[in-house]
Amino acid sequence: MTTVREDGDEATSAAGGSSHGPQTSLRSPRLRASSPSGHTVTTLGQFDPMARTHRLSRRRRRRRRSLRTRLAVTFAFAALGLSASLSVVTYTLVRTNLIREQESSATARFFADAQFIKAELVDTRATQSPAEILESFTTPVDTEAFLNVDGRWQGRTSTQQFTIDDAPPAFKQRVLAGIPTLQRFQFDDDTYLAVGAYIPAIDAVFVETFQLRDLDESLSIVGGTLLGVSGVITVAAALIGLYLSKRVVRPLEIVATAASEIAGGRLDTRLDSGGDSDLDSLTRAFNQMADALQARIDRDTRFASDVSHELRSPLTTMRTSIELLQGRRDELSDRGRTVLDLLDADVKRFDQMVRDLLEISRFDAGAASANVEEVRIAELVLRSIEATGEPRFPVEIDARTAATIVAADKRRIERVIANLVHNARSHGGGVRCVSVVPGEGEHAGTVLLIVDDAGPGVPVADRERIFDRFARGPASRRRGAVEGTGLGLSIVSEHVRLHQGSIWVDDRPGGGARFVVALPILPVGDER
Amino acid sequence: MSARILVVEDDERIRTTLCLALEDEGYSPIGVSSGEDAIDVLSRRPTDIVLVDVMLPGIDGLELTRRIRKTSDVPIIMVTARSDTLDLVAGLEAGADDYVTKPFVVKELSARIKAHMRRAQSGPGDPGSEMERYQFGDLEISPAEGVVRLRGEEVHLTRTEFRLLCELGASPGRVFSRETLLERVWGYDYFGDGRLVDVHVRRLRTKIEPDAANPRYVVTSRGLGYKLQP
Repeated sequence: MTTVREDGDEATSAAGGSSHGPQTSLRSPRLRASSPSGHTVTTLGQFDPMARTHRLSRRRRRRRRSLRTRLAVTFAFAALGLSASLSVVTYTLVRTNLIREQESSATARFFADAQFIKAELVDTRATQSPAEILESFTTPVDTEAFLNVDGRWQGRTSTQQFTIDDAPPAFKQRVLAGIPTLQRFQFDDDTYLAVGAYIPAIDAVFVETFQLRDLDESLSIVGGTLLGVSGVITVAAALIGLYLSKRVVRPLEIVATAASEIAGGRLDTRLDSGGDSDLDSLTRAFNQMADALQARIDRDTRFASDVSHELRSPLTTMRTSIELLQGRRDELSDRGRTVLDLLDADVKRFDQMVRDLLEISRFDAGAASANVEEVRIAELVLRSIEATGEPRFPVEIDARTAATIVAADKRRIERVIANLVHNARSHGGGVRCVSVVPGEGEHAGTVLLIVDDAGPGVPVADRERIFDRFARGPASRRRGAVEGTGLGLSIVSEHVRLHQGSIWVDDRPGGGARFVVALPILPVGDER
Repeated sequence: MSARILVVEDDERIRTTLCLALEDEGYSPIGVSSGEDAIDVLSRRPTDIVLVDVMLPGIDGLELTRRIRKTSDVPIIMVTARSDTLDLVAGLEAGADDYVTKPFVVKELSARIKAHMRRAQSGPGDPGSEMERYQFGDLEISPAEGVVRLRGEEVHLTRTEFRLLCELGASPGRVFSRETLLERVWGYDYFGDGRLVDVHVRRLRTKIEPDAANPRYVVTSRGLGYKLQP
């Protein structure tokens, strides 16, 4: 039962109606949305961002070139095809017309010349040989004349660039057979036109060849022009395509920018169609999506915050009641006291959880603001450790940091220290040492708060993840001994980020984990 | 005599347990569930300290604080479920002297009450202030009488504001850090909320400064704290 068709009900009954129990789950839109075919069926009220992302990325992979390139190339190809076929048609027409024109003028010329030759031969047969007549016969440079009298070809001797032997044999055969013939042929890369006919009055075959140099030149000019124009049109079309695609893609870029801004946390980003009716539906859809997303995120964060707030009232009653009972410990039996202490410990933990959740929900809502004061970091660290109530480890303050001032929210830094110390105790075999040293190298300009523990260290693979919410190390399975809320380190990293600082975990030289918090140092004020 | 505490809290269970716990701590609490009842009780009975829940039906905690301040300088401790900056500052500006955040520990609350009671008792005729009076320009502070006069006219200050001014006035020109003031005036340790000082200084300025935006007497020393300009 792996395929889920759009008509889900039928697919269900067909595929597994008899053998599989949970048919109803197949009908759920979620399952449909993430069907392996990648066909997303978005149902109203069901927003599955994972399925969405999946689909988009798949499509992106399938695509090789960008939309803009594709549009430009399409334009270019279309223009090339169009201009090329137009060119071919034009070229062919021009060529045919030119040839026809040349042929008809050549034919007219041939008949005129033939008339002349005939008259000359008839008149002066006695005095002049055909060769002499041909010799006296003035023809344009590109024209040659030949006579076949008594089976012998005679041509002019003056020009001699072209002899009758160069004419195609088939032509000669046809002419000698008495068929008037007109034929084009190539010689020496030039096109020639040969016209020949039998003249009965003188019993001779007269042939004239014309070099069609004008035709070749005209055609090459026409061809070159057409080629050039086609090239220009193609390039122009590509540019137009590029320009148009830029304009078409521009809204997409704007949407992409807006989307990444939203992804970056600026949920109030909206699009403006700029009065373009084509873009109205896109911007409207996008803005609706952004509204829905923002509303949903707001609702989620508000929900977490509201829940935390609502829990505070019963918690207040519980803590106060437990304090009341603690004041009457003496009136309780031993068992009663044990139960009271258990209750006390867990209510405290519950209390901490609610505080942590509220803190997190404030970070999520972007409502967290540091109540910043200028404080001596060394003193703040010492006081914070004092407040944790377990100063059974060495604290080393580098002399250079004794007077270092940072802009800090005391409450938050106190939580950072407390949570790190608590973390070391719960997961790291206890605190080995806390130190405050000036940052060096890439951390110049910061002061480093270092908490070393005596545990097994943190595997490299977990060093980022450990700051995630409810990230649990192997040690945390021992829930009986651990009092963590699972939010401690994640809150630490949020607090540190609020101070424009950074936090990471390293190996402590000699074993154990080393948590390092880097806080930016304030420039020394002149008043101090 | 045990301190008479008015507990204004609409959540019945919190009110009941809180009153029981305060009795255990040796106070005499009276619980009411609304701002209207609180005003009624205040007008009929002497009260040493008021605990006001910010979220109340009807007159809310902020409005109640403002109304109480019109007629009384009794110390008011705001009980809030929100420690967000805006809510907190709004409450302090309405005239509250201090705040605790739910869920609180009664021992902490009791420590706060004690701090304010101590100051209330040692207010006029504070044994710590031997000097009869300080005079700075038009401003006259008389710790012995518990009175502040501006150009000879009495200025009405709450006890916390008065105590703050006396601290600053006892060492004119000396810069007091927020921590020092929190410890001396409110009895807080290092982790006290500096906003308490800031808001009280602001309130004080509107009462004694000719121009609160350009203070003549209570001057900010940037990054360090506050001092009284002699």
